[in-house]
Amino acid sequence: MKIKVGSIMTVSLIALALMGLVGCSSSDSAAAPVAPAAAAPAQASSSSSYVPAAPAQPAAPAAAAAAPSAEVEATKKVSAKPKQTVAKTVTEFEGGTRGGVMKINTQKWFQRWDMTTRSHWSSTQGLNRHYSGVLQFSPRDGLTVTPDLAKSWTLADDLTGSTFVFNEGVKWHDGEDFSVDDVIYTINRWQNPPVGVAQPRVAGLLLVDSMLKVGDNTLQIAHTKPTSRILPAMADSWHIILPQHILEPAGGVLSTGEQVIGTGPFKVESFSEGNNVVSVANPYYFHNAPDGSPFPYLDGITGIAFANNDLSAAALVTGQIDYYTSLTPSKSFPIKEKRPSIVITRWDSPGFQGISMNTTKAPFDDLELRKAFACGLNTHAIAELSSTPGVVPMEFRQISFFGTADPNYENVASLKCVDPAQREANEAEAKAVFKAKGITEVEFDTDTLDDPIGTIVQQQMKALGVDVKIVISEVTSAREKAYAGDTTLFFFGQAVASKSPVEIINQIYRPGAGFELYQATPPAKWSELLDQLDMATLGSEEEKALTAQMDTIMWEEWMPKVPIRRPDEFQVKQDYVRNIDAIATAKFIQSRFVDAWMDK
Amino acid sequence: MHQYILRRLLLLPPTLFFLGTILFFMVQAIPGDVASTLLAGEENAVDPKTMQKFREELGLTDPMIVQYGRWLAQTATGDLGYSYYFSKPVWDQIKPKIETTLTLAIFGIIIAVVLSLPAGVFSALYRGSLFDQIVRTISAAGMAVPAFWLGIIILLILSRKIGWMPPVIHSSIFDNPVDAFYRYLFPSLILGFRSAAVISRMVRSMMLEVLSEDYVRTAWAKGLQPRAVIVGHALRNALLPVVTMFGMLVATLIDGAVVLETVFNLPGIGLLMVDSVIARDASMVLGLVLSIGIFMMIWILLIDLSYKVLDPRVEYD
Repeated sequence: MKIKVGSIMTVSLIALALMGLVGCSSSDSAAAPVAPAAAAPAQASSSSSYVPAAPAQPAAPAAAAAAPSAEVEATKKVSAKPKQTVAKTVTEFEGGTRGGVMKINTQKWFQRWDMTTRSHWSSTQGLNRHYSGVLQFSPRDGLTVTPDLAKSWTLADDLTGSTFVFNEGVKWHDGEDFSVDDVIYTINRWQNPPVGVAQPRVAGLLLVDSMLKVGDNTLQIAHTKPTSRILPAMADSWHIILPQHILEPAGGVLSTGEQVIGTGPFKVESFSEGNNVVSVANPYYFHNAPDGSPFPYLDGITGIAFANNDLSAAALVTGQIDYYTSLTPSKSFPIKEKRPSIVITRWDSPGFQGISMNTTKAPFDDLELRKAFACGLNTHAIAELSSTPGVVPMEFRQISFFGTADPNYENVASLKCVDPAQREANEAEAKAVFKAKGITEVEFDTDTLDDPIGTIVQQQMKALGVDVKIVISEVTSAREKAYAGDTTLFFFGQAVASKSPVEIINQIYRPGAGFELYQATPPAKWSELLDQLDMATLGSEEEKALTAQMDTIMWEEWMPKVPIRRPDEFQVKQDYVRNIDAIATAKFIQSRFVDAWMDK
Repeated sequence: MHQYILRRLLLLPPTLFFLGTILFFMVQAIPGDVASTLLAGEENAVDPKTMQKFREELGLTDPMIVQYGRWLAQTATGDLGYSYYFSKPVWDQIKPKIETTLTLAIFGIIIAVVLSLPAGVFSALYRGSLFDQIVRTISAAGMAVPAFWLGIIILLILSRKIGWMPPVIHSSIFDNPVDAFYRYLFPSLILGFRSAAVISRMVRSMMLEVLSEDYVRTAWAKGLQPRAVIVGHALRNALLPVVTMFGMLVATLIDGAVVLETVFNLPGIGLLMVDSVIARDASMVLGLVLSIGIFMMIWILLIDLSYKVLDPRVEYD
């Protein structure tokens, strides 16, 4: 077929003209990022306070080679100059080996260099080691609030404000001085992000009403309401402090690996986008080990992302990675057979899995049916069966709705719906309800191929006289379907609360922090208790009593009414394959590998 | 010929316009958007008001025709847009991935050519022989076996049985050729093998046809060396349709790269495409498809122009 040049040119010109016309009549789609507004300062009176212990004296070389303490100590000596003592050679000691480079699996690539814009934990695992927070949770227990950039803090008597005193002489990885202005800039950015920059984990930082810099190294914060929860908010592993001098010129947008400049124990040396980040020990790092030896112990960490689990498992078998989190038992045990030096650690995590019932449409708009489903399912069995046969069964502990605070199992264990002794009665009752209501089939939406939970639910429901049809969709479509209210049963997947329950509260319950997903309005009494919890001392008996009351309300008043219910949350345990310190492994996920070392 | 090239180049903008338009509306039809992914699609959830505000900020609540006009205007200036998912301009995200996919595709093409041409030619020359039957069986298997399956099987055999696998840390072919060779070896082999399966059958059938032509018989009768007859007369004429087929196979190679980059952890265009689709990053998906579209049109033009080299009788009208 012959085509005339003239006609082609005419078509092209018309098309170009059309494009030009449309271009002239429309606005720019990508608005320029906006710098966050400066916050108004406020005063905070003081009383309840934390003052660090005196820093340990540097130990003699022989003593320095002893195993690191199990607790991250308070403020350590700060040096303005790069340390010369950071391990550059491998040193063996009683507990393992210091120095060297550890290669870790950071799951999938974290997609964005700005870890504050993601809620997926691959971001913290990929990037957290480069940063510090105002405070941090102890990498050992995940609960105790310990110093980080701030060396001490004070809470006002009436909890309306707090004061943080920062370490002096802290430097960014590029050698610039850290200042309190960076903290103010970062918190402002969290609260007022540039256009298009999501901050899904802002959570507890919304408790900051205003900030005032006092002198060179003190920050006073006024709270939006009386609360002590500002401390866990500041220690939240997502709430890293970012460099103002890097971000401000870029309009607040962190979009390249070169901009990953922190004050953390490791600094980015090189990266291959989509595959790996090579980090080396930060010679400016301001924390020392309790024995005075410099942190971090390792010379470097190389984080490698894998597009799929088969490949990362193969990398573990062949020794190309040293540390792997979240490997399922079915994959980890065969690997150990091939590579006996691997140590598998099981970790008791306050994580939970959830199946939502759509209560805005039939059949689960019927309260009786919701109860039948919630109590008819044997969640204990689900927890055990979702583990692989041959592996020691997981210790099961039912946790409360939303997993407010996992130690509250005892408070709900005796509830009829949960109590294992009532199981047979619960199942018989549920079966009778399904039969009476004529429910013979329901759909179960999931985004996971061969979803074991779906299969188990299918088997259990079959025994209750109901056929479960499993519908598998691609992840985003499945979620969109659930958000649109088009699902009947939907497997929300697993949320591993690898950090403290206190953090979970901050993430889930704060305005804009996410719990609205479940379209659940708490009873007024529960909200009152949350306010009281804000003012309770962390870890106190008062706190425990309040959370227990909240759990009771959740189970007895709130849960039966919420539109989308997650009736079968249960505790699971994560399985780890690693060859580093067993005690710390569980918490390294969210921590900065500051005191990680290699096994001999 | 110059006029022909000019005409083909002038066809690019309208073709891209129609391609882009169709794609734009297809992408919009998929459930979910980048705001949903950023705020609620990973491990978090957000209240509907916050989500709505965020969508408004990104212009996702504007009427579709307004969004289309905005996208068209921006694309007409050569700007592929901004990816809110990756927090950077679309092209800045695509650019560093090109080397990986191109390396994989080039290796795949080389392997495909090296395997398919001799296999096809000798299969035709020794028609019905054991060699011919083996080639035909292997090529049938190559077309039937899915690339991802083959990739996973190779990985499992290497790691579990042999205790070795290619390096997992990605390196550029220019920075670390040895590591890069091992990283690309298996995906390239799979990619090349699958393409070779198709091409070898094509070469075989074309060679069989050409070998029975009068001019080939004449060449034999003239007493020319077998190499001159087979390569100079038969193969050269048999290659014309093969080259067309080969041009089309590059599209298949890109398609295969999407799968193999995921299986072998190669951070290229394919993996980026998968991530972008899952993230509902419309800007990135459109940018990627348009970039691939431009590349394919130029590639096909080059293939068309190569006919003249293979057969001087070809005229471009």
